[in-house]
Amino acid sequence: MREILLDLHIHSVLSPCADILMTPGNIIKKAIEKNIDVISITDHNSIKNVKSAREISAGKKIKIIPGIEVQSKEDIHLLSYFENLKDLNSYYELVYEGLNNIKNDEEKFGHQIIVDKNDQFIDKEEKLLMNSTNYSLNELVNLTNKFNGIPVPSHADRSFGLIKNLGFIPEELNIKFIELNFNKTILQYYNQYPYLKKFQLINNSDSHFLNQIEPKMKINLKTQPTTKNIFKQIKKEQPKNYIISK
Amino acid sequence: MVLKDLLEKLNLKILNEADLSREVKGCYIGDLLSNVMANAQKNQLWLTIQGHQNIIAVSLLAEVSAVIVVEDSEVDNKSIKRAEEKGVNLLKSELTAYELAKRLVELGV
Repeated sequence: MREILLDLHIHSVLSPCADILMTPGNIIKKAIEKNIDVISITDHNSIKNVKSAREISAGKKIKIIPGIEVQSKEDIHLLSYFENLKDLNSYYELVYEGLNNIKNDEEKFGHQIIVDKNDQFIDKEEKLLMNSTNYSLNELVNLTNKFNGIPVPSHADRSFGLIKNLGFIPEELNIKFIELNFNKTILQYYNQYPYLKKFQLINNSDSHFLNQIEPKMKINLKTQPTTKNIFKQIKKEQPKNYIISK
Repeated sequence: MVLKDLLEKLNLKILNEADLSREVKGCYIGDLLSNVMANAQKNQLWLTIQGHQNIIAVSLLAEVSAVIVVEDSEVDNKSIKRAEEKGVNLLKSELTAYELAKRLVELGV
């Protein structure tokens, strides 16, 4: 049995709101420094740095769970994690098609940079990623489940969050996990939103800057720490909230 | 003023008619449902672009006299069905919230 430390919500330079230093190579280096075993690079409505990140991490101890953060038509952010790049890609292709077609204005929104396996800038995403898709949250959840993924509404109690935007969690939503900021204790959350007891609450850094990357959760793993095994374990068992003392 | 008096004057489309004799006293504008739950008052008209079915539960909680989806925004079929089941006045307008609110002020709401 080994303890695995996780941070499953990190933005790379592809997200216009992320710092220019957030290249996959730098993120991986920082995560290793912080003893994190598993990360996920979850850019807004895109996956174009995930493959390079996986190539950069090859041969290193750290594992990368394929992931993305998509914005629904209700302006709600949903994290989706997948077992492999193929499933992530199937989901992404539909999402990108449904993303409103507005050109990114780098001056106003920031850069959307794609890197190669050497962590070098090779291209830019032209479509503005910081925008809604035309899918409802329910549709995005169902699509994620269809590709065997794990749907997790992000930062549910703050801007672009499920509870903030829709007031409460709709019954129809086929989800097990909710991501919260953990700016209060679990008990305080339960007091404020008793219905959260029905869900597995998870905590991530939602890093946009390198110094925000922290191990936020842990799971216990009996099997070999391959991406596949870790993904299955997350899906099966509630990752424990793990808050680092500052 | 009651809802019925306003309907024709504002050229509103009825998605679900529950009780048009509801009193109307002021209006609240908001699309983040958590804010609406916290701040909308009884008998207000609630103007929003949110079409998700949660608007029906929120309108019952806030006891608003009607929900008016503005800017001709898309309303989920489930919202209309819920409105029928729960007895909520659900209306639609082509105007923006600002334009509609101006008209409400002119009518003395």
